[in-house]
Amino acid sequence: MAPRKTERQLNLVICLLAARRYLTREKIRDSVEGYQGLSDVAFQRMFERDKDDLRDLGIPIETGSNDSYFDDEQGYRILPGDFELPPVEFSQEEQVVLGIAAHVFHGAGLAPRASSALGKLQAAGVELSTTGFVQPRLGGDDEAVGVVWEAIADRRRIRFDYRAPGLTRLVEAWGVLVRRGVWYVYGLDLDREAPRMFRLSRMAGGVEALEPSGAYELPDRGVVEAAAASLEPAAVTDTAFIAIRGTAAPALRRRGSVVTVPAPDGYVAYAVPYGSVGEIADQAAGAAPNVLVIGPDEVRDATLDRLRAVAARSLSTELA
Amino acid sequence: MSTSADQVARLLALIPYLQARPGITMADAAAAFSISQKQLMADLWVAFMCGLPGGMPGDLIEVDMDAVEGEGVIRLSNAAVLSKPLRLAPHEVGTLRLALQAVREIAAPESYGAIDSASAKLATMSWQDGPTAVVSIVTGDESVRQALVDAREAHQRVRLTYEGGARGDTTQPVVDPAAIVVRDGYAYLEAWSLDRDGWRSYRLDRIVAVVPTSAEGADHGQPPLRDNWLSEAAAEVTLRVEDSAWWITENYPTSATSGDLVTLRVVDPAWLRQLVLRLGGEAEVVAPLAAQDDAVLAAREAVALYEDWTATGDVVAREGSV
Repeated sequence: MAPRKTERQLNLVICLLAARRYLTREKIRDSVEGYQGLSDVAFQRMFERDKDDLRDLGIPIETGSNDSYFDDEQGYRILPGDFELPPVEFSQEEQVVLGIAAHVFHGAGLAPRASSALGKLQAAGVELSTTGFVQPRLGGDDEAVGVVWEAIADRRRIRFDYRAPGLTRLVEAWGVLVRRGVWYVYGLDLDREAPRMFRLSRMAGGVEALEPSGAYELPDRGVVEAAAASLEPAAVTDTAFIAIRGTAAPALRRRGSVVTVPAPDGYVAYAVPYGSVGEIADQAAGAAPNVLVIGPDEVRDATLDRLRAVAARSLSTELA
Repeated sequence: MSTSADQVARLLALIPYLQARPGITMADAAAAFSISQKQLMADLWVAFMCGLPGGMPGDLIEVDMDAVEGEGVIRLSNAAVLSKPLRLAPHEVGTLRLALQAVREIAAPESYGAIDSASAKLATMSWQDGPTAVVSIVTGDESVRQALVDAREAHQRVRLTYEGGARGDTTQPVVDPAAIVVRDGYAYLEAWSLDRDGWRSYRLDRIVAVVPTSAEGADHGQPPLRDNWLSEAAAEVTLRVEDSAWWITENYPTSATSGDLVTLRVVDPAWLRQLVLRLGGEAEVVAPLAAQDDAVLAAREAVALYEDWTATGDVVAREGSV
């Protein structure tokens, strides 16, 4: 931590906000605690860096001159109207849901961004309730989450190694998907010249956001929503006939309905709608032998393939 | 939040926040900004050193440090220039709207209106659009969530109809609901089970009915925190995994990976059995070997059943399936 740097930058913000006119560099150098006593070069370098840091926080530092008729030196100021959060009003119910939202990133990658946003809203008078009955969490602990998030906000390209060091990808990220606790980024892969989806947890060795900002445009939200839909299970199109013993496989039973198809002794036959062969074969194999597939053949064969691979292994007692 | 940039950003919100709430306690202010009181104290010392150019006493922000250190209350004044917070950055708006989407996934339908209107207001608060995000959480039927929220508000004990986990039985536990939480993308009801006399987690998508009983719910304190669904005492099982099954390392708690070997933490042998069966040839247990005995026996029994039954009933069955 650098309290002196924090003090200097905060003083600079206050100075530029209070200014009625553009302030020249010399004026700023004289006024702001922390710039005095520096060499010209050191001051210029420090002032440039401070300006960049503050602009990165979203502080609108304007450049201009007070008198357009004369070739005045450029000056700086912050217009309060551009700086300040406009008045906000949230209903009681809205404040309750914001209070719940405040805890979604608890301890995770986006937590500091949520805290700073909520700090601003509270400073503008919003009161947040403490946590209640409903407590959603999104996770996203990878450091990559924060970098990717801000890169999208700034429209900066990202570069990362995917799955293994050296397999570098350059991507214009369009959006983030969080499905079943897994974080993905979806965007244009510039090497492959096509949209691709990447898991954040597979980004080996972190993510780098490249200069400049505004390097690309974000597509319509629908593009990202369509990508999210593609992660969902395939739409139900076919029906499998499945024999289930006792109270096993409630999910399959609930999806299906009892049918009068012959089934082995002790089993009841169900017609179960499914979208992909792999998905229903996973479920049927996982619940074997309490679940057996009657048909169609491709589902039965896919299930039997899984079971035969496991059945062929030795039991620990069979290994001498 | 310890870098200088974070601190500057926070102070630009903290200073107007404190001016609007004279006499707020250190504890409340620290909680509002999700920081420690030590960090808050450091922030106040920075504010104390700042102010308008000139550096005269009347120019500086006033913080009553005696009251802070003595009574633990904050009085901050003479900061009229910073009476309003900095506008929201696009990534901040995006973060809050993403969080609201997560809330909407597990909230009761009665809250949808407030969530949507809050999100719409946030969308207008920055100078350009924030990042787009789409969230999905496995959360079951919205009427189940509404019934649980209603029961909680009415302090009612409820009877669930629950289609249990790996073993797959349907049970009807009587419980006092305590919280709806999310772990690894799945929503769970945390509730006190009267039958088991202890805390239990119920996956929301497996609760098919919630019926209030005539009994009043009791307060059992806070349910235990479970960071993920396998945080209880777990056995370590190592599998050799094909590329095509590498997804398990991202979906389940993995304690180590090395080459094509993955070590998982396993609480419930029935869960491991179904995982090994569904992965088929894509993964194989290498240690301890006995951990896959259950799955091998189940697979052998199933294959035998398939073969027997193909000999006797297959023709009929296939006709039935057309």
